[in-house]
This record gives sequence, structure tokens and C-alpha cells, in this order.
Amino acid sequence: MNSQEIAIKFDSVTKIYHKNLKALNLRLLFVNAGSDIKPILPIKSLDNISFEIFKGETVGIIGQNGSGKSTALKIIAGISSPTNGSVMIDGKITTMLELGSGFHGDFTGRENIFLNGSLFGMSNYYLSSKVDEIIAFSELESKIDEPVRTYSAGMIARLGFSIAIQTQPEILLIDEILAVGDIAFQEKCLCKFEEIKKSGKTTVVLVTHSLEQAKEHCSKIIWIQNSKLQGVGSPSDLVDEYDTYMHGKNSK
Amino acid sequence: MSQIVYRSPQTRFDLVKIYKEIWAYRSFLLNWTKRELEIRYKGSFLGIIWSFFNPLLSLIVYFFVFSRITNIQIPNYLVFLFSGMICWFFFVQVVTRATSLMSDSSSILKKVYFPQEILIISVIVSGAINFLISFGLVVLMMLITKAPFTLHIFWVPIILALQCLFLYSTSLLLTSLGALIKDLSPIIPTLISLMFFVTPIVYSVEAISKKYAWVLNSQPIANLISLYRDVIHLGVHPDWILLIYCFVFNIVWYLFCHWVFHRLRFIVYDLS
Repeated sequence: MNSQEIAIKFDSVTKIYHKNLKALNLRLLFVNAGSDIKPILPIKSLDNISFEIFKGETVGIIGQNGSGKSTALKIIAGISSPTNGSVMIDGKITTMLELGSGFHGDFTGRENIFLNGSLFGMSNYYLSSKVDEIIAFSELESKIDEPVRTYSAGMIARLGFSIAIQTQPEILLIDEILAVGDIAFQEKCLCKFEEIKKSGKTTVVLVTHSLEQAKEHCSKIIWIQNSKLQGVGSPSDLVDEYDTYMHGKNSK
Repeated sequence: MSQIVYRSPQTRFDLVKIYKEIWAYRSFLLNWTKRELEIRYKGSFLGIIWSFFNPLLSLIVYFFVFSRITNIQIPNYLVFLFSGMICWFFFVQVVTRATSLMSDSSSILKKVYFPQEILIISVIVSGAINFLISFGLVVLMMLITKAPFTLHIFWVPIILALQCLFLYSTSLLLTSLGALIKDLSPIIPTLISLMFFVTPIVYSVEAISKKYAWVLNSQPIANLISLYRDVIHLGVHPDWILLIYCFVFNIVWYLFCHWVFHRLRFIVYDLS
């Protein structure tokens, strides 16, 4: 494992959203709409953030709701783009921002494995060699040939995770998805992460609110506070500081 | 094997890279297109056979309305009408889907990264499949009615490729504009029916007074129909000048639409 190789590098990244900016409609053309239109305000979702993530690291991004954690993940994934600054990425990315997005309710679990798996960039040929493994991991053998609309939320998450994990990513992006599914399946997912981590080749970036998870699984913590970078460091230092900060805030 | 990617605010115009990536996602294109085709008929009794019946039924309706009820003097009117109709059906099918494509697929666009052009290509491919089915029906009818038939009919795939390129570019433009301007999608059906009358589908360009002929000649769909008619209805070599004009026009049009699409891509994302 070469810890010197950079997997992800944020170089003074700023992301600006515009509050009250909506899709245009004809009213703007025909009516003198100045009166009831709210001013368009730029909101900085990420403010001049720079950090580096090395290959093989498991990095937890922590911070309050709305602090910009998910925005950072989406920029890494290429779903959104930075307003300023640049991001360098070295490696094949798999995003798990939401499990089972792209599933179609009228199709069976098995059909959705192919639909969803190919959405992650896997070929049909590769998927047909992995389909049994995916079904076994999801523990959905009895329901796999039924339409996905009959599945519970937990079952969808299980199937979604089992598919996405097959991509053999070099960089894995995870956004609080472990909150879905029952404890047993959560454990299973975490075991799978440990397995991936041991291989040492995959870089994992995970957004989490569970400080226990962050402490136990991450080798580095990135703390984003009000769109700004509050700190980068080892879990033992930062997690407790964050914990104290959050509690101090609540008792005010 | 490592490949370094940069994400920055600038728009990229690297066509090779974009289409390499699309090629890497070809399994998704295949699965998504199958889904497009299946969803439409899922649960209905005739299933996928509807995609044969539907164009056939509409062709028959149009034939009776325009050949039996009105009095149009064009030899082999059946073939004349159908060669224009199939081109038009393809256009309508794609354009009606394109404007709402972004909002229909926002659930995956916001959660997974993949080349978004695939959604559009999939609409084009399923439209082209329907076109080929209808074209098969036209050939069948030409055989039944003993309409004259020449080898120039083998130009059809080339003209179809031109039409696919035109529709692909137009969809790139309409998907991004449709997401940006919410009033575009409801007005499209009206614009389409307006366009139906300024397109020589049921009448011929010659029937139009010279004063207005320029409207038809400058209209891309009318040009395509005229090419289809040359090779299917008249059975002659397609007009070279028109063919070259269409080719050049479509390349320029594509580059423009591609640029708009990639300019607006992230703005559209932040809006939805």
C-alpha cells in the first residue's frame, strides 16, 4: 500500500448555489414580475475547501446537517460541479448516495440487477457472472423474481447495496446509506467494508452522523462546519472535539 | 490502471472522451432501451405486438382520410403518404419525450454518475426501432399494392442515420431547455400539431404556392421527408445537393446543441 499516492485532491473548491433561483417560466416574460420575486441570493455550500485523500484511506466526513458534506461527495462523483477551484480524482468511482435509485417497480429484482448494475457501469456479461453472488449477498432468494414494488424499503436497500458493491471500485463514496436496513444487514455491510479496506486498494469516503462508526472504521476525519473546512485529522482527535462542540451547541 | 479526472467549472468539449465513456456504458444503454420499450406495453394483452399495430392502425386511418375523403391527385398516394408519415412519427415520438426527460429521470440523475446522453440515445434507439417496424410495413404494402420499387430504397438506412443525428441533437437542446424553462413541455404538443401542417406529409411541396415554398425548404424535417420520398416513393437517387446540405447542416446543428447541453448541464442539475 502506497500511502503517498493521492486519490482525491480538493484545491480551494467553492460551490455556490443560488437561493430562490427557479426554472424560468412564462410569467417572467409576460408579467412585470418584479414585485413578488424574491431576490436571488448566492449561498456558499462549500467555501474554499482544500484537502487531500490518499489511496487506501477510509475517510469520514462529519458535520452538521446542511454543512456541505453531501455537496462535497456529489462533486467527487461528478454529479455536480464546483463553482470555483478544481478537484483531481485518480481512480474508478462508485457512488452509493442512495440505494436502489434507478430501480423500476414493475420489473423483478433479477431484472433490476441488470438495469441498476449497468447504471453503475458494469457490463451485462460481468453481471451475469455475478448475479448469483448478488442474490446470495442480498438474502432475497425467495423474492428475487417478484416485482420490486412489492419489496420493503429495507429489502430495496439490501439489493441496491449488493449490486453496487460488485463494481470493484477504486474509490467508494457512501452517503449515510447504512442507516437503512436492519442491524444484521448493517453488520454485514460493515464487514464487507472491512474486507474492502483490508485489500488496501480501495479508498472509501463516507458521510456519517454516527461518531462510533467514524471512530471505528475511519483512518481520517474531515470536519466541515458551515461550508468551511474545520479540520482534518485522526479520528481520536477530531471526533471528540466535534462531539464536545455539538453538545456545547445544544446546551446553549 | 489509473486514470486521472479533473472536475472544474469549465465546460469540456472533448468529444472522443465523452463518446468513449458512453461506449463503456453500452450495457446500460441496452438495458434502459429495453425498459423503455417494455414499459410502454407492460401488462397489456398484446404486449410488444402493439408496437406493430399502432403504426399500422394510424397509417390506415391517415390513408382513408386523405385518399378517400379528400381529393389529392398523386400517383401511388399510399406510398407517398407513408414515406412521409414514418419520418414524422419518429420525430414526434422523440420530441415529446425529450422535453420532460430530465424531470422524469431526476431520481437517477441526482444519485448516480453516468453519461446523461445515454438517456437521449435510448429514446432515439427505441424510436428508430419503431421506425424500422413501420418501414417494414411500408415495404409490405408496396409489395401488396404492386407499387414500383427500385434499389434506391437501400438509401433509407443512410437517411435514417441523418434523421437520428438530427433528432439526437435536437433532443440535447430540448432536454436542457425543457428543464430550464418549465413552460416548454406543455406547449410542445401544440407546436407539433402546428408543424404538422407546415410539413409536406399529406401534400407535396409542389402543391404549395411558390410564395411559401421557402418555409418548407428551410425546414429540416421537410428536407428529410423529401429525401425519403426520393428513394421510397419516386425510386430515384436522392437529390445530391439536398443530401449534402442535410449532412452539413446536421453536423453544425449537432455541435451547437452539444455545446448548449454541456453548458447547461450543471445549471440544470442545481435547479432540479
